Amino acid sequence: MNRPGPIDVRMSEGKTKPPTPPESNDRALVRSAQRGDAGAFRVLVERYQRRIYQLALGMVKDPDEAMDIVQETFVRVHKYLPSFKGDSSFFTWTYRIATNLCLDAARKRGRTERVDLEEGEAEVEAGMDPPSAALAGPQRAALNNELKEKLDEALASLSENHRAILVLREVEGLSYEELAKVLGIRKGTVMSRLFHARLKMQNKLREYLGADAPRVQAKEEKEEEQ
Amino acid sequence: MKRRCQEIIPLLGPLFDGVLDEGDRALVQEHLTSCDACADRRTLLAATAAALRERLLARSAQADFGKLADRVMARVAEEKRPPRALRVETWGSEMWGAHRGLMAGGASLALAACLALGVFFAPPPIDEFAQNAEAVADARQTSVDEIDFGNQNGAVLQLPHETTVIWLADDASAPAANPGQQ
Repeated sequence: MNRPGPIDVRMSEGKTKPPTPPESNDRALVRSAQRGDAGAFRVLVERYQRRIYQLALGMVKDPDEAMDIVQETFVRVHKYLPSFKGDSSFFTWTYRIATNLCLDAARKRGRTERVDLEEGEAEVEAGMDPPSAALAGPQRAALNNELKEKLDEALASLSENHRAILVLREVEGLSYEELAKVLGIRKGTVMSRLFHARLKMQNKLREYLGADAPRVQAKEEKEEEQ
Repeated sequence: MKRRCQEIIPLLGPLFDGVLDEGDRALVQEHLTSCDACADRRTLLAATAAALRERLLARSAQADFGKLADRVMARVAEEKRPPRALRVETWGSEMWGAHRGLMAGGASLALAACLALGVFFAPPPIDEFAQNAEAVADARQTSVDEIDFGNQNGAVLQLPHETTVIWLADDASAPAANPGQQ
């Protein structure tokens, strides 16, 4: 098992993205796969399987179920590949299929946060303020077991929509435009939803990543769903 | 919390994501230099994102993808191969679509040929056949004997089944049939 590395809290803005997939190479592979080249399709599967798995794992938690979703994602990708016109990048398109499968699976399992910002909550009580002393502490340098558990719990407690946008942004590094395409929402909704998802996550983890912070009343406008 | 912070907090995420325009970025960064609370908020934002990322990457690192591609390709091949009935139907449909004219012409010719052969080789009705056969047999058994009737012309026709027909002509130039039986 790979032990997680230390958390880099010194990240500066715009430097947190994972490596961008080789899109130009994707196009050639997609064209070959569309012509029936099974080898080309296999390369695409192997290229994105881990990233799709990460997304699925964040959404459904159970590793076996996540793996099933990855498999189903690629089966569907293959099925609809002839209709893929290349208007968006292949990986964005694949993420969209995977995200929809994840959302379906998560909804079926009923692991949802019933009261949701999208459902009308106009005001959010946000504990945004970690104490400076805690932030500087070494406990943030590594993910201990309790924090891992809390992270999983916090993620699972979010609504499917919040979980999806958080994983796609923080883990997969999708841009706001890509998020809008994958989730089928407007860019303004992306920003709003992401803000609330982050806020909720921080609230759940405040005592592990920084406790005793004064609470903040942040009045936010209701998200406008597309 | 200061009112200024209320305005800055929603911009911390976009700042972290690197999507703020230059004006807003300068505004937020200026605020951060003078507000420890918001600076801490920004750090918490980064820490939460990093923790989540690390956690999911660590969990996914445990996954074995060794046979996933094989399973996907097997499923794809399976779904690609439709049932036999559907394959036949699809093949027929495709062939018809591609060679409609040719297939229609060929079918017409084949039908015409079948009809012609049928007519040519069709056996006659059984009764007619029997009658013909009898007639042929009768014709073989019939004979005409020329007999001198003196001043009269005549002939004796021997039919099957022991039947004899005699023609006598009153006038030698125009023999008339006077059938009679012995």
